[in-house]
Amino acid sequence: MTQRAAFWNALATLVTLGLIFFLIDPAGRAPDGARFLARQHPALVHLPIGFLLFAGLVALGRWWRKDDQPGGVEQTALLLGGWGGVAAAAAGSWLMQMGGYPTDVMFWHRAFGLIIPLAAAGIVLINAKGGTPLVKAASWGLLLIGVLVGGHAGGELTHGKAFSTEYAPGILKPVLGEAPSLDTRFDLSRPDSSTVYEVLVAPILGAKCTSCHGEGRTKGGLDLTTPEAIAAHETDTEDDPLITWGASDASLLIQRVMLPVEHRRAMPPVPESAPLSHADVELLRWWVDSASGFDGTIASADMPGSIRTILQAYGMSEIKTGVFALNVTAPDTALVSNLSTAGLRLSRISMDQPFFDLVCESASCLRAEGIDDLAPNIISVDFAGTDLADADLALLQRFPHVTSLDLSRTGINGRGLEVLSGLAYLARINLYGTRVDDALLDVLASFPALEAVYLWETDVTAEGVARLRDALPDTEINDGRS
Amino acid sequence: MSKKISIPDEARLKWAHLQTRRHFLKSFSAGVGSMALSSIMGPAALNAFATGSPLTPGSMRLDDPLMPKAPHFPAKAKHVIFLHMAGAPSQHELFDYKPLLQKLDGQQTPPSLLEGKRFAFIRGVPKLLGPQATFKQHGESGAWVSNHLPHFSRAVDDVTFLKAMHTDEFNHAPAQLFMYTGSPRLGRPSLGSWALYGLGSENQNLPGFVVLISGAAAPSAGASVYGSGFLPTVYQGVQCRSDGDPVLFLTDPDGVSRDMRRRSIEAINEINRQEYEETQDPEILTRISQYELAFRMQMSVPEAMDILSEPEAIQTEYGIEPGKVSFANNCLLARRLVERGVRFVQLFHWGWDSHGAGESEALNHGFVERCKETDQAMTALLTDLKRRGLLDETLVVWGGEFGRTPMLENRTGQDNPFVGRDHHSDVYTMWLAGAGIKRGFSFGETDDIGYQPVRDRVHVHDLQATILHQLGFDHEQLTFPFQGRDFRLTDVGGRVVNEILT
Repeated sequence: MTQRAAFWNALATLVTLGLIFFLIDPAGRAPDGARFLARQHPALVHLPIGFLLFAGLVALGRWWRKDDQPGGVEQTALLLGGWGGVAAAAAGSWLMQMGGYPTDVMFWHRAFGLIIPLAAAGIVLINAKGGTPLVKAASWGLLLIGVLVGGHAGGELTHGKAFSTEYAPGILKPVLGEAPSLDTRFDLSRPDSSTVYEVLVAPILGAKCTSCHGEGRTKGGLDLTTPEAIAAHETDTEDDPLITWGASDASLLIQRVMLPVEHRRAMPPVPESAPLSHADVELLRWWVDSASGFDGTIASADMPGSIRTILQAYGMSEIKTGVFALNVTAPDTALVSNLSTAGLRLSRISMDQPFFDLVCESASCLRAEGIDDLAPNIISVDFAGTDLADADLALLQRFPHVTSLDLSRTGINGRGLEVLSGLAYLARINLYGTRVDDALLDVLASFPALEAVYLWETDVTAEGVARLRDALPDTEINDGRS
Repeated sequence: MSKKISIPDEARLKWAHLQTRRHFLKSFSAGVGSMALSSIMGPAALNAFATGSPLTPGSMRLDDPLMPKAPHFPAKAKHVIFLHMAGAPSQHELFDYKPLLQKLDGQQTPPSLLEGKRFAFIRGVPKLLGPQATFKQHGESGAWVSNHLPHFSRAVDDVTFLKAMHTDEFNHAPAQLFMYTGSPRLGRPSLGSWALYGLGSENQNLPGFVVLISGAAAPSAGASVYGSGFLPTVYQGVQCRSDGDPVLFLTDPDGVSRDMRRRSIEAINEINRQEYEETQDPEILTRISQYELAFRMQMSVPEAMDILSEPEAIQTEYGIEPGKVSFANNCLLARRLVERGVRFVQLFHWGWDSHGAGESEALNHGFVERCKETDQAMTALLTDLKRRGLLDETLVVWGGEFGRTPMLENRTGQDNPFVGRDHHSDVYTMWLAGAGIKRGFSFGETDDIGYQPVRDRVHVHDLQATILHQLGFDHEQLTFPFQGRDFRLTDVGGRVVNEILT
């Protein structure tokens, strides 16, 4: 190939690439006629790379033989690769217009993709004209970098981040940079003290929203970087408020991220950014629907199963509350067997918990040998319809973790219950069909975790029940009259 | 249970299974078999429960398949009462109020609604039929309930309605099988059997799974809807009756004293036990355990079934009819059984198949009667469970096997004084209450004529998964190996309806 031809080739390549670069506007709309070609970009892009690699191998062989005269095969492969690259660049630019790709990765893919045909044309020229070894090595190096970086960015565009490095050997990971794994995205190690906003919401807003709606650049007058700014934001009158606590459907923030991507008000806007993932939308909705505000903790928010599933995928271990948060060891199986033989009906509440329900046929089971060893494991005690008397109630003190106490249809009048005052975990107490009366109400009010009291067919008066409802507004008090 | 069953239990089950299938080790099982068994289970385990005669109340053996077992995770429900309205009650006359359907009453159904649909009886183009009831909102939750259920309308704040239930079947027997066994064909274990298999029985003197049937006929799918399928038969439902002998064939024959009965059962069981040691067939354990249970039940069942021992106020509240078979009697019985630790009580009340082909199955006659027969008693059941603190741990489920069309069914095409609706599997209403289910809540929505679901559908497998979840089970883990694969109630489907749980 003559020097002149190689020069004109390089010039034509430069001009065509320039036209592609300046005429195909990233924000424009791909012409209908070009859309078919655009979708062939992945096919068009790989063949030129093959030609160029082939040319590289031929050149390598030549360098090995110390042969300084490039042959026709090498030049032809470089020309085919170069012009194939030009075609791929055109198709790729239209594909970019068709949208949906993250802009930062796209920038690198496009820049290094355009370098490839330029470098190829440059090598053709150098081969024809001759040059110093440094120039030759540099031009081949530039081509190699273009293929590697441009190709990597292309893989990332198609398959997502870390596609090519995910399974890299450990030794390479510090070099390649490790993609964040699911369980490090949110810090869910302390769900009882971290707030929903700080741990979940702020990172999502930070990744997806604040580059436009942040301190530097408050598009639409919206700043999502601080609780104060979010709380203070006022929307246009025809729109819903930014956040309506308890009603995500009536919150502009949620409405916008849930709009179909084609909608002109959908946030974040494509193609500058990819839409929020389904899980992120669900977490934002949960933040609003649970009315967690900026101070509500993850553990204290009412958590539907779908949210629990998402958070567990992000590495949250099961939230344990009440007795289940206690560190109680599983008892000796022989102890349970012995007590069962002695007439106690013990059933383990589940395979994964060390706790037991205890059902007794008579008060004498409170005196069974060895029961004290099992006492921390018992969380429910049922004496319904037995001969239990007030004097026996003192023996119930040994069960500090009891959450449910069924004393219904026994002869107690409740005088003995005072010794149980303040039981920390007691959530249900069933006293129906007993002779307990209003004197008992103070004891009931002393249980901090009480959720339900049953007082049907007792001597507790209607006034007494009314007083108890005042003292325990969150507790369900059933006296059978309502 | 395949993954979380305890190792000795699993070993025992597998061992027993191999034995049953081939009786391979029959000739030398007494040697190898029992050696393996005792070394797996350990001496301490063998000694437990060994004291006392199995025929004395409250006692049980280690090898008793009904021994209580721990579920996968802590359960909300210790008991289930399933009120099945066999024949499939119409949601349009009870809970799913559609004013537009009233407006369109008598108009031809547009062909677009009929395209690709197949009905059990409707042929050609039917007319739309407005609700044959008047509706009002009730309770703090504002649930719509028709005038046919004046009692129940006071209890709406205790229940969750599933307004967009759907099933795969549109005829009674397959749909009932589907509801209880997860398959429309015969041979699978029923919901109650799965519960008993997973949890064992709390009360060793009563069956863990009791079936109570009222109405003109038994459920069309027969005893298979409470059968144990391929599970050991010890887990099948036991039908009890509120009239006559509570359990058939339980009384001693004339001239046989209880003591003689005891001695003969002990002798029979001794022989059975020897046979078991030779063959390891788990069905022999079932037989032994049933003889023992039957003997204990001779004392405990008459006591539990004696609804006349209830105070008169309670009898009136339920509206029981002593000496008859009635839904009210069965509701009161259900409460008494649950109180005594029965795990699963299944009620069937027949007569809801309101096609309009005759007076007894007309929406303006028989249907109204069925409502009267059930309204007061099911409401009393909810109230009674609630004030006794039992509703916290008892899951109550109400519903039929499918729903009914918003269209009038007129089989003969002539003037018909009776109105009715055809079977409809795409959408119907059920309700649940107690044991961790939201109160005063409604889930699912139908279109303006109640013909198709609009959102939050719940499939029968989803309901089954939810019931098992409340009993403490992961429905995908509660399995039983049969014919080469692990079977489960929800087959290959099912999603726990977390939205309705507290």
